[in-house]
Amino acid sequence: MLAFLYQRIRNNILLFVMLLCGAILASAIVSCIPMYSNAIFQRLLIKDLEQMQKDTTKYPGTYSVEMIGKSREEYQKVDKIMYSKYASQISLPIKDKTAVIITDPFNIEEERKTKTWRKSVISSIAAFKNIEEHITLLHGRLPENNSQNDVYEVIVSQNAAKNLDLILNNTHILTKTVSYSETKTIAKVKVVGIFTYKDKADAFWDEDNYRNLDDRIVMLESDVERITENRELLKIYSMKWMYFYDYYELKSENIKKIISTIYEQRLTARVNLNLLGVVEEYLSRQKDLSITLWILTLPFIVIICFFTLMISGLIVKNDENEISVLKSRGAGTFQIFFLYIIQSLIMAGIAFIIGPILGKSICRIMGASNGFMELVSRKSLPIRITAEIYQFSLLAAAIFVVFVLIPAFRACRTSIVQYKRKKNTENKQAIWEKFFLDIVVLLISVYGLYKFSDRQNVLQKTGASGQELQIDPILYMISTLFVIGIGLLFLRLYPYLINCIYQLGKNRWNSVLYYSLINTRRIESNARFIMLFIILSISFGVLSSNQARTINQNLEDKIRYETGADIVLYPYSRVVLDSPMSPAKSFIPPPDPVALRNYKPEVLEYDEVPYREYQNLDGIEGITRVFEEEKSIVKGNSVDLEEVKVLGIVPHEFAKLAWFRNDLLPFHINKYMNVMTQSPNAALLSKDMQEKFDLGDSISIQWGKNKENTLLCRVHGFINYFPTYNPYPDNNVTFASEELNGVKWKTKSLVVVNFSTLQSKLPGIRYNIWIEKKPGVTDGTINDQL
Amino acid sequence: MADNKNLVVECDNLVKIYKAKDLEVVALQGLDLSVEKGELTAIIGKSGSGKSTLLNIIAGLERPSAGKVFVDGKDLLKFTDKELKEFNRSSIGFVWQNTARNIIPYLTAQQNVEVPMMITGHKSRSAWAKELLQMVGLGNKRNSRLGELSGGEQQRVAIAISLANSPRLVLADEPTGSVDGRTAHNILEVFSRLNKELGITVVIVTHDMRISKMVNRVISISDGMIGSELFKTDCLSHNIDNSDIQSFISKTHDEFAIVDRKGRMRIPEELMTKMNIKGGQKLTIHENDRGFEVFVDSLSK
Ligand SMILES: Nc1ncnc2c1ncn2[C@@H]1O[C@H](COP(=O)(O)OP(=O)(O)O)[C@@H](O)[C@H]1O
Ligand SMILES: [Mg+2]
Repeated sequence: MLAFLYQRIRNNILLFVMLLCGAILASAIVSCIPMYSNAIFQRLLIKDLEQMQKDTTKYPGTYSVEMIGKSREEYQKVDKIMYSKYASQISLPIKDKTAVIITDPFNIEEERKTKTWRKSVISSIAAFKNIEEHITLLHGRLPENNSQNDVYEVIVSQNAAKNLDLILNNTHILTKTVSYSETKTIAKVKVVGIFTYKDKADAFWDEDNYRNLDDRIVMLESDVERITENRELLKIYSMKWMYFYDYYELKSENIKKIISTIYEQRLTARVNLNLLGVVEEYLSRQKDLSITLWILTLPFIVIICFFTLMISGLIVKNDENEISVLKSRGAGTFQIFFLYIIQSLIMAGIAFIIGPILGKSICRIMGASNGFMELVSRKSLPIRITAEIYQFSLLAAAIFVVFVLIPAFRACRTSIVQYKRKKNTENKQAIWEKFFLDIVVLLISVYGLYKFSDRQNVLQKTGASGQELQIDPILYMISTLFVIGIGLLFLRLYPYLINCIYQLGKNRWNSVLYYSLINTRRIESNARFIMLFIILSISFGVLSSNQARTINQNLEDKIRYETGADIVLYPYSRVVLDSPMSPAKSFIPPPDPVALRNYKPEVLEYDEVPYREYQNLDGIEGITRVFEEEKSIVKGNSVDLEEVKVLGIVPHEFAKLAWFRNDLLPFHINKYMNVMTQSPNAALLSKDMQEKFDLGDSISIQWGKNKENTLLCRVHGFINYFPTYNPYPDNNVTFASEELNGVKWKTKSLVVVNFSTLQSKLPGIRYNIWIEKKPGVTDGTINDQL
Repeated sequence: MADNKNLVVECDNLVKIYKAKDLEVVALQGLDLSVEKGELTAIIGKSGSGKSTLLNIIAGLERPSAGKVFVDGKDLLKFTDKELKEFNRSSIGFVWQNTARNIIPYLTAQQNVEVPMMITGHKSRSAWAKELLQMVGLGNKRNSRLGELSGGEQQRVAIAISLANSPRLVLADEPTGSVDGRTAHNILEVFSRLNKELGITVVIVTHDMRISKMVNRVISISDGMIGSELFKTDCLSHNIDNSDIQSFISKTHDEFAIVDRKGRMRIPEELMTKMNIKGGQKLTIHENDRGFEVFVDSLSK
């Protein structure tokens, strides 16, 4: 049997290798997607957690289990199983741990009243395991365990000393109010040390712990046990075990497990993990990204499926005779099919193992290339092959097996006699042809396209922008469907088309043409498959490269839009900002445009180089002055707007050199510029101000501390877009899925006024210089002259 | 019907109609045939006369449109698909004219012979395959592939393959169709030896009259019916000119007209011309002391 199989494979080695390649590629691509998204998410995850630590001062890796109001024995019991039953379930390395015991509150009084009046202070005892490693003693020493002594030694934090009014080396009495008139003494304590936190950034000083010590006295754990022996007087209020995990080791694939563990543990105890919230929100984002990536990969998968079907079809066709030989010798359908199963399992097995490894390389290339993926990550990604990846690989292999076996199954079922008959009656209709799947797919995609343009209009109206991936997955999917539909439809019509040509000149064709026409009229189903495959791969190739170009173009446009011109100079400090992108070069990793824009020189020293000298620079096509102020106040009759961006421009110069796509505004930008030129007091307002101001309204614009910086203007028009103007400056939306649906971003308003008007009113006004280079001139040449 | 234990094949009034698009082809029209155990039978007939169809039906590869087939006393039409497979596997050995039909090209002769045994799930395949190849005279070519064998050798491998599962019945559909006369002779010798030595029932389809000299019984089919049967004449001189096969056959065999179950009789064409009779001719049958005699009615001439 194996020898037979070996001979079979050897005989068909070329097709077999091709099929194997298809299998490996399928597995590679399929496993590549989760690998890639995991890598991106790994990075984002850590960043998010770092951000969380910064924002909340809570250490994200803090895990705590709290018990309240239980007996001491119970605490001890839980303490024993804490690590094995709770902490060790979270699959993260433990950096540090502690356990905090807190007692019920009591009053603290001085033993010998030094002051005539002293406010009654309520506090409680806290015992921290390992606290000594995380504090610095300012005064005194650490408490010592001398159980004979009935004065307990305690230390307090600097804050607590202040809050509780405790003095070093003083002895205090802890009392409990039993009734209105009666208080009982619990114990005596002596403050032997005052400490401060060694390193507040230390995970140990999680916000809660740190707060805990602001109004508590710290005792040794053994002392706490001793002092709470008499439950009547003082009880343990709560015990909290804390583990500080190294969250940098958090792997995105473990998140689900961790979340479910926490929820499981919550059934039996008060368990908390600080990073839980972040991480939960995270999963949904991960899903979104994965979906996007899957959709982007859809064409590849479709092509690979077709490829597999095609090659498998060829192999089976090659084998048809052999199948009939075996059949005529009485081999059962399954017996023959079994050969194919084994054969495909061998291939799938190889693909299953090799696929992810190849996928890893693909991911590397994707991550390192300057394509659109660059946006998401610039450093090399933490790409890892995990068990989950092998699940995907397995899935791909399984699908591959199915696709290989479809033609094999069909062939195995036909008997030898049917086979002979089939040879006579060629050209049966394929399934898709019978059920008009091509038409169905086409209709779906056309409908989708229609819906999509609807949605696009809505998006346009809401003015979505931001750092999106700029691929709409739905559009991509629709396009893919459309391509498949058209491909199939073409195949359906192809014979008629040929027939038509044939009929047209039946009597005119020469014999060669005649013969080939007749031949092509009846194409075999396998040949049709190859045609379909070619149609699909070419169209997907075109589609993808188009997509890449669009993404690139959009990025480029965006950077240009945000920068405004080839070169923007800030002459007052002589900081030269080179344009981030030379036009016409594609796929140069774009520097972060926002960062560029926001770069403001520290010293706003006006460098008195006359504007004329800039005008005399070599290699410039156009030059203009632009006044830019991000934070001004616009006042109308009844409304004030703050943080409005003001652009002062010289319209006729500006129009010539500013980068601007003309399809962004209802009229050509020159029309707006003409209006500005004609009326020096004209102002163009961003669309969002339309609700507040009318055309013809007078507005005053004010900026800086100096009240003199005021300009009166008249509203002459509203604009959605303008060079450098981004209504959503503060959100860095990373993924398309995070569209602005439902989220209200704070928008920024814009006012465009005449620079000359500004300057005549305020002669010493600062301005930037926008320069357009002559074609072929590099940024360097201009830089050198400066 | 099936009570005669000695009958390996029994066909009764077989009808096979092929439907291709708009036209129907009647391949067999009411054919009766019985083959006894250990018989070596040849079926001859013009191309398209329905020989292959008949063989396919006997092999269980095709079902007749009407009529009955018994092989080894078992009614093929009552078989389930599974039983049919099993029957096909173990009771029938098939040799096709086309070598590609018989042999998987990339396997050696030995491996090819082992394939049917593999399908059936036999153990100790290798030894039996070796023996079979020895039997057909290819003991030294066990490890050759299709390309390394001559046409005749290929057919002999095919015979070995057909014998792999020790079938009761070997059916050969024009096994000598694509080889020259001498080789055809060799192949037939193999068949007749197997028939004699192993006692296997063999039915050989051919349109080659030369074959028949080796064969006891020759059945001639025309238009999907048995035309006539020829039996070897016992007293025979063998020094005959091979070129005139027609005359050769008629000299080695006695030709009989066959009456079917419904009493219809066919007269071979050659006889018709010889007797100078046409369709619609009236015949009279007279009884005499030796039995019955058929006379051409001279009145209607
Ligand atoms: N699968 C088939 N479909 C349609 N007609 C067939 C098929 N097989 C055989 N026939 C027709 O049946 C008749 C008998 O064919 P066959 O048994 O192959 O003849 P032979 O083997 O004697 O040359 C022929 O006319 C042939 O065209
Ligand atoms: Mg035939």
